[in-house]
Amino acid sequence: MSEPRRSPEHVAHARRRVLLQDVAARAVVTVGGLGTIAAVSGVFLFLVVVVWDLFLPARIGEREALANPRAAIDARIVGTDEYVGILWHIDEDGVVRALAIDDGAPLSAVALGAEGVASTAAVSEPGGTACAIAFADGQVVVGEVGFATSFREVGDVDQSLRSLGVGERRAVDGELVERTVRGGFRLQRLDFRERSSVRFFADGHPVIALHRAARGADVVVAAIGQDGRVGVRRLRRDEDPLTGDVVMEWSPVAAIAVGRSASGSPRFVRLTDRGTNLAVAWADGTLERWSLRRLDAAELAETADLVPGNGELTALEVLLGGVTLISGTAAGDVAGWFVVPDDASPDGFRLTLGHAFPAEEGAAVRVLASSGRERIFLVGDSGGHVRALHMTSEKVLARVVSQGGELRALALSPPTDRVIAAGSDAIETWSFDPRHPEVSLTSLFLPVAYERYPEPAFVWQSSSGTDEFEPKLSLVPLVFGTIKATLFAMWMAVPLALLAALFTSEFLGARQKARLKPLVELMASLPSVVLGFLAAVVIAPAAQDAFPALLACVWTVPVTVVLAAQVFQSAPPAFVAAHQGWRLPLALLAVAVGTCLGMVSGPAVEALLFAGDFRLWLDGGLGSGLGAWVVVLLPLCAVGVILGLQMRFRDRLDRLVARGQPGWLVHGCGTVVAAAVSIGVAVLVGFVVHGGLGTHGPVDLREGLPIGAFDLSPFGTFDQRNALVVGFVMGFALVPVIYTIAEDALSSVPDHLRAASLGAGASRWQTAVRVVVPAAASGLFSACMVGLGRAVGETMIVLMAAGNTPILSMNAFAGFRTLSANIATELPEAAPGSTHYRTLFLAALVLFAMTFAINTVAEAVRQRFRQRAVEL
Amino acid sequence: MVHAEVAQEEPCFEIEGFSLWYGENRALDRVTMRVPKGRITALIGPSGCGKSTLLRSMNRLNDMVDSVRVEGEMRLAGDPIYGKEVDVIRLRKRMGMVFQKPNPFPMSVFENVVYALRVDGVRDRAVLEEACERALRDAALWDEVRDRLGASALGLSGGQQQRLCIARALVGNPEILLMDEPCSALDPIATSKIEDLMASLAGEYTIVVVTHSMQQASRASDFTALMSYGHLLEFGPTPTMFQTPRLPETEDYIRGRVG
Repeated sequence: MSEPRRSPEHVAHARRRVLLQDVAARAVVTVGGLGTIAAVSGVFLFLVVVVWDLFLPARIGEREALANPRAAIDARIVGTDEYVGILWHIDEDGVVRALAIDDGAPLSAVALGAEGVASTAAVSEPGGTACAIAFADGQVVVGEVGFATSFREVGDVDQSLRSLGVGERRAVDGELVERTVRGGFRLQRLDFRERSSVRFFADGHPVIALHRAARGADVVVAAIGQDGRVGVRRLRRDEDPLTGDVVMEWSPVAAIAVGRSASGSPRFVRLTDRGTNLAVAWADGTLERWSLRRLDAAELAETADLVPGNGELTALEVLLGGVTLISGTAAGDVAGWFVVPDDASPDGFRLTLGHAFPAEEGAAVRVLASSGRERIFLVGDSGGHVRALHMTSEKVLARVVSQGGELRALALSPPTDRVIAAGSDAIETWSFDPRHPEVSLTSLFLPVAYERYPEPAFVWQSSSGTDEFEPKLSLVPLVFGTIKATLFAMWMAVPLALLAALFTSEFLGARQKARLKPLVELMASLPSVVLGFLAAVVIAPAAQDAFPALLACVWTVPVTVVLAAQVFQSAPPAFVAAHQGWRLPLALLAVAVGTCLGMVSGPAVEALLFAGDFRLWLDGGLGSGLGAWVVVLLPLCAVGVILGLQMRFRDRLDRLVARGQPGWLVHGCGTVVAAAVSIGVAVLVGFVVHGGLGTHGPVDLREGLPIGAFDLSPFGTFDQRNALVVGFVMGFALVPVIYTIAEDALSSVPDHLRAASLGAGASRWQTAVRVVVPAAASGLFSACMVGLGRAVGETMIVLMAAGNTPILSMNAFAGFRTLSANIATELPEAAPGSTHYRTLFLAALVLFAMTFAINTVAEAVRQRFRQRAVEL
Repeated sequence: MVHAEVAQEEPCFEIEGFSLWYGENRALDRVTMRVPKGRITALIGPSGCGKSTLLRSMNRLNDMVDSVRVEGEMRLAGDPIYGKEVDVIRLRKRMGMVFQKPNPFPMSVFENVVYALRVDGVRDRAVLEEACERALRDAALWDEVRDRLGASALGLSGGQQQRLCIARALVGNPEILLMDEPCSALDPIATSKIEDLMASLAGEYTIVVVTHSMQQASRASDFTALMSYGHLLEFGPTPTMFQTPRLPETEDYIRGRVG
């Protein structure tokens, strides 16, 4: 170093430069670090914001009363068009009237019955337009309140309409004109379609209550006559495929021989399940359910009581989907009823109470109306209180009070964005946004009573072919699938990875280790999509016939390896010491021999335990369930038997050897006897357990082992893409992750501990097991936890190889669906902002929470491990 | 240069023309040495002279290192140490080893002491407890830890840990006790305790101790061997070595002019 370079000017300059670099570096690092934190929190925040909306309550707006076009409104049913521009109501005089919803301007009216004949009853399908109206002269009219819609460009409409803004509406000549977003005009006119009328009872007896249901293209109509008789007719609709001509024809009346109740004539009649079930109810709550599978041979399926005690049934309606009956009582109670399978019933079903909504105001329920899009319905009582309820989640979405006089009819607009109440004095509307009524913490994580499910259940079924389908969004099957995938993968990966790590760290030289470790770590670079592809396309088909052989290998390989070790170790000490290098090849040879033995004995195992065909046996068609118990019990029994025999006979064997018997023979025989005894004990215990321990019938694992809603049996029906295949392949993906960390943990155990152990005369294996593994235990644990974190988040392998069935079964031969695979499959097709979309984001949050918890535990343990490593 | 007094002693451990290479690097060069039975032999010499390597070669701990190559012979009570047909594990059971840094296992005091018996498969609790007490008494630690045998050994002080390691080495009744700078990580009080302990063990056990401290060698050993650059320079009774060494190199080293 020369003198001029250390001159004061130079030092000052250098100092300035260093300071500048310091400041710049600090700024860059700060910006980078804060930016990373901000980005991560931003993602998290985005997830939370998207999910948050799920849990916001429904919104209902201010009351808007329509100007009353008539002196008194006597509507029987009310509804709107799908654009919610026209409000229609069918009145007591048998006329359907349309008016503009914005200002109440009348548009048009169509008389449905004969001149001057009043209607006696009217019904419409949930939220929809298909109606049936009964008249005092015994006529019944069915049809659809439809709207003739046409579109016009700016040039085609009257000058006065051109000033309309986008979204603005005006009534013109009985039509409602709306300026559309595209700038054109939409014109709508009331159009009652597909009308067909019939004198319902042949003698012209008036109908006091009726209901209709679509059955394919046909319509089934059920009605109660004034004298209490009940009849059903079917309107056949035949369309000539060539000409398009429609022929409609009424079937004769099928009389239903309903019973007599103390309260007189039946009051309600409702058709459910596409017109295959008829519910006839009396005011005292008695309900007869008739099976209409054959219309001309109706059968009484059951009698139920909807109102226990002395209450009065004041309303009965059908929820969207045509399955659930909604009942309302004079006390204000509301309940949902649906049929569930029941073998004891004549038609195989039984009506059960699914949901109950306790009374709030105590006033009698007058009107019930279902939405046409969701399981939402409105309840109106004699006091004018209107509630919007969600059936499945049992949530009260909104409460309003009508001031339009006595409530006559209620409706939700087709998009479920407006509540309409027709009272005796006025028609009122409220804007409504139910948001995500079917989702709540309870519905996501607790069993939910779904229509037709015998018990509350955890179900994930987000979409279906029909509009009437109810999405079932329980995250439990997905969390269960994630746990199942993790368990199976860990079961494969943990022993393999930990033993491999132990082997490289404790038994390999530095040079071999330097070669092997990167090789294993290279496994991690295999894209999981490739592994998933291999699993689904190559391994799953190849493995489906090999399971008995694989199960046999689980038994033969350890036995041959132990035998080989004993024979080798029983050779003269000098020979053993001189041929240490032979141990690994010998072990590999023993594994190969064991595998061959397993493969050869596979068919025999299949014949003995699995009735000769493993897959058929799994499906429950063949053989007994004893084999399942043997497979489960064998490892446990083996451990028990070996420990027991060792305690009891080890000294005797040692004495035999000491007396000059050849050691390999004595110990070899011991191993074979232990293996045989284990099998014997397993079969015996299996036999006892399979027999049900004398208390109940045989316990067959193939039929499941239900614990609550979960089936914890590892056996059951066979799928080609099953948990074992996924476990095997995902295990392969986890091995490098666990291996690397475990190996680091083992290698970081200080060498002086190994030296102390070896110096005390311990073998390498004893050193590894007694000193190194306990010292590295927390590191090994943390390796497993990191592997666990990886398994929980793994997507492609499970997506491709797990079959994606969201079931709650631990069956090793069936698939599952994980949170991650579910997000990957469904998010692309979920409408942004929809309940489904947000629930998928919630699934992502749950996944995040799971991995976060696992990684936190892993990190906490690793911290402890570091502290302890310092002490060593 | 081996003094006649050494040759008169009955040998416990014999080293004949022993050389050792770490890769290309020759760490020991034709060392020949007979360790007297029942005596304390100190190995001294400058850093890197090979004294620790020699000690670790005596129970083949150098096997843990990959690139080690040896030549020559070692014998414990006449039995060869090196050779294809030697069972190293059986051999190590006959020796005890104490290391530079106290290295108790992360287990209880009791399990630390009886470790050698445990790995031999001894399961009889009474046998283990008796052996533990005897070894701890021999290591002059019994009174200090008798009430905390079940506590973690990592909670002991450094000096106690080192005596625990000595107890651990003694539990199997070794024919020879190898100590690799046992006091270099300890304070003077702990050091003096260990030195007293060594003195009390002499006679019953043959001890080879590697030490950096000239005072320790002069205080606590019967014989002293000086090593330099992998060679054994001079080996004689400790008083002679420190007062009237035969070689000028020994004189220089002892007087602190070298190393």
